[in-house]
This record gives sequence, C-alpha cells and structure tokens, in this order.
Amino acid sequence: MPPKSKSAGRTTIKIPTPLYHKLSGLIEGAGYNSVTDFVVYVLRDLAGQCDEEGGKLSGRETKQTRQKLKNLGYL
Amino acid sequence: MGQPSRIIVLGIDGVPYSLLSDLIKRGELPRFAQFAAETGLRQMDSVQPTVSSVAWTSYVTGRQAGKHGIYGFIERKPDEYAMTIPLSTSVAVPNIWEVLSAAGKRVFGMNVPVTYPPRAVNGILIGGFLCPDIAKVANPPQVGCYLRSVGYEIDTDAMLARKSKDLMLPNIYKTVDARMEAMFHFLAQEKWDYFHTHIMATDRLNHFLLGRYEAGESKDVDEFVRFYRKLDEYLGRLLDVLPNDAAIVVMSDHGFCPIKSEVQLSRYLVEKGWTVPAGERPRHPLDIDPSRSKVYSLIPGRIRVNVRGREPAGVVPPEEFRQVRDEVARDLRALHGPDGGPVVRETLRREELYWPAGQSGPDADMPLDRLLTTDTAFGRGPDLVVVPQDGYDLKMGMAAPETFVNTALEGMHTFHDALIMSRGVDLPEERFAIPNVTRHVLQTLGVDPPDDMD
Repeated sequence: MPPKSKSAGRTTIKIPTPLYHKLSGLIEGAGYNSVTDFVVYVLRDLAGQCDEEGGKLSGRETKQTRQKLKNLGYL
Repeated sequence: MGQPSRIIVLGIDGVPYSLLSDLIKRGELPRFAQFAAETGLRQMDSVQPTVSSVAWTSYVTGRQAGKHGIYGFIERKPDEYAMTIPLSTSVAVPNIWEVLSAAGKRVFGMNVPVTYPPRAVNGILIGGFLCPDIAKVANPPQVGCYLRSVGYEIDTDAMLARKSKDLMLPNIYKTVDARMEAMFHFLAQEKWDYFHTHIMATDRLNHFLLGRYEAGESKDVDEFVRFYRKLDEYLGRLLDVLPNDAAIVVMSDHGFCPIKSEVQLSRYLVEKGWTVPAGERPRHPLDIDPSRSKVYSLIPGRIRVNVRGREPAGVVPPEEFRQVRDEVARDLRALHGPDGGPVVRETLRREELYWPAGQSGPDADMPLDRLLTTDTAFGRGPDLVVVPQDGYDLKMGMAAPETFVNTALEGMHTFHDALIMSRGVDLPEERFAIPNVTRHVLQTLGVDPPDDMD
C-alpha cells in the first residue's frame, strides 16, 4: 500500500537528508530540474531493468544473458 | 521389447544426421553404429526459424511456433522497440512434463532450452542455458545443491570459445562430464516414467569448430572427432544401464553446415530504405525510428511489418500490409553474397508457416484482422521468415559496417538435417518434423495428446 499522495499521481518518499544534499551536488549542471527528477529517472531505469519477463531476470542477469546470446551468435 | 512403460529422451543439440552418418561409416562411433543399425538412423526436419529455442519448445509442446509462441532467443517488448528474452513463462501451452504430470506420470527434465524458470511438475525439472544462476535452475530448488556438488555447469562458456579453441575444449568436456554424472545419478535415484536429458555442448562445438573439421585441418579434425567419441561412450553407458521396460529416443533439433558469411540483415534493410535507425549509432538492434521504418528484423531472419495499430508506433496502414510484405520479400530474395550467389533460399509468410491454436494447417487466405492479431502466441510471430541458403548465417547488425562479415563462428544451423533414433517409440513412416515426435512419445506412455498437438 503506497503512502498517501499529496497530489494526483505523485507519492512522497523520504530519503536521508545528507543523501539529499549529496544528490543536489551531483546533479548540478547535469540538466535535472530537481533532486526529485533525478531520483525518478534513476529509479525508473532500475525498475525497467528488473522488469524483464515479469521479474524472472534481474537487470544484471539480463545483461549476462544477452552477453551469452551474443557470444553464441544468437544476438 | 514389449510395450514400454517409460521413456528416456537424450537430446543431442545440433548434431546433423549427415555428420553422424559419416562418423558411423568411418567407424568412429561404435555404440551409435550399433544403436543406429538396430533402430534406424533417420533424418528429420527442424522448424523455422531454425534455432534451438524454437525447435526444442516445438518438441516439448508438440506444436509449431504459432501455437507455443517462441520464435527465437529474443523478442520485441510488448509496448516498445526494445528487446526482451523469452523464457519458459512465454510458452503459451503446457509442456510434455506438465501433460505427463497431469496424467499421474513421474517426470524428469534437465537442461532443455527455454525451460527456465522450471515449471512445477510431478518430479524434477532443471532449466536450460538461459538460467543465470544454478541456485535458481531447478524445481524443486534443493536439487540445485546436488548439481553444485558435482560441478554441474548450466552451459559451456561461449566467451572462451570466442577466444580460442584450446580454452573451449576443456570447458566443453567439463560441462558434459558433469551433466552425464548428474544424468546417471538421477536415472538411478529417482522414480521416473519420462526422463529427458539435454546435451548442449554438441551445438557449441559445431558452432566453433565445424568449419575447420569440414576443411579437414588435421589437428582440429582429431579434436572434433574425439569429442564425438566421448559422446559415443556416454550413449553406450546409457544403453548398458537402460531398464528393460524403457524405450529410448535419441534426437537432435537441427543440422549444421559451415558458414560462408554472416549476413547483417537489418543493415541490408536499412540500405534498401525499409528500416531507419533511430540515430547514427543505434543503441540496440531494435533502436529504430518507428515514424520512418516500414519493417524491422529480429534474428534470425524474422521480419515484422511496422503496422499501424499493432506495433507500438506503427506507420504502415493495415490495408498496405500485404503489399509492403511482398515488396520486402522481393528485395530480400534479390540479396546476393560476395560470391555472387543468392543469399536467400525462400521467404515464407506467417500464414504459410504458422497457424493459431485449434487450426491444423496453413491458411493462405487468412483474413487480415486475424493475421494481424496481437494478443496470442500466433500474434507474436514474424510476418515473414527469411530462409537462407546453407552457408549464409542471418544476423541483425543494423549498424554493422558491412552486410557480410566473418567472425569466430564457423557453423550455422540447417533445417533439413536433424536426426532421430528410437527404440520402443513408433514414429511416422513418412518424413516428419520435430513437433510431430511428441504425440508418439505420449501415446507410447498411454497418455492422450492434447487436441491441438501437431
């Protein structure tokens, strides 16, 4: 069950303040509007990697399997 | 023998009928020779596309791909132009272990392609080479502990093969030795009515050494034949311990021939203007500009028309589907290799090759809406399958610098040259293909095949 939304389609999650400040520094000049945008981008990417075949292959496993198929000439 | 009450299947991936016949004639394989003389070594057709994931899924389901839904080692993701790897979760129908389990039979399966993740059965199922981790390979999972204890390898390491044959061969022997040790262990320790073990290493050896074997390079010929002799010893051991009431089937899923050249088919489609890459450097084989691409290809030789309403951002109006497909097919048949010979043997349309569940044969007049259906195993299939001439191995390579390339791969799959030998399972007298074997295995065990089985 997700926590209560403050606005439609968005949910608040909490991260440690030092991490927030570190991320603020990291994204300076990188084109992200906010730490939130950056975190959403990273998490979407991670979730996409884990999504392969309903979670049966993780992102790392998918990468390994693709490399195996490539070595065999099947990709 | 009387009516068998159980069956062993030994899959020897990619062993050609012609190669085994030749090695037998030369006296290299005494146990295969004896078994072939007793049972009859027969040539069998594979499937289209001729690739192990499709062929073995066709055997384990007893159906052609239009019913089981596996058309290759990769697919397009449902909602975007990106790749996904089909696993057993993508197989649309029950496999032979499930059918037999439902009939109360005890089953065992090890290492058959596209059986990972292993489905729950009445017995043991150990997944095939797409499994990334031995801890997850078996159902029930504790079987993985035993496998680990005998040094079981899920597959040979193809990266070693790419580096050198001297690294590849010890790895192949280690993999097969552990696999066979596991096979004899389960054969003796488990209760089973259907027992299926798969050897993948033959396919790997043929991929990376067949060219040199065929060219008669002496040291390589010796090493190639030595591996087949090892296989012969294992067949002999298996026949020696075979229970009296057990039938046995030894089969491969396709043949092999030496590669003249790998063909970057997506690059050719780009050249001809049918496919437009997303940019100068596509990030993956399906990184196309959908607004300007009329078709795209998936390995090996699978063409999908970018139809509006079916594809994520399709542009070809449905009423132009057949015309576009015919024109692409014409261009593909016009492709010639570096030696001037044709690359393509034939192009086959979806409705000629596959047909939906419940239908028993091709339908050349299939209505457009049924042809372009999306939500079934049939709907996931290619609109066109390109069948190459022997020697031209079809790849994707949208951004490849050349259409024709040569790599460490020496052998490619062939359709007409799979093999089968059977003691105790009656097979059709006329020529048949791999999906047609399964119903005879089930019938031998007194189990009725499902109605839509081929």
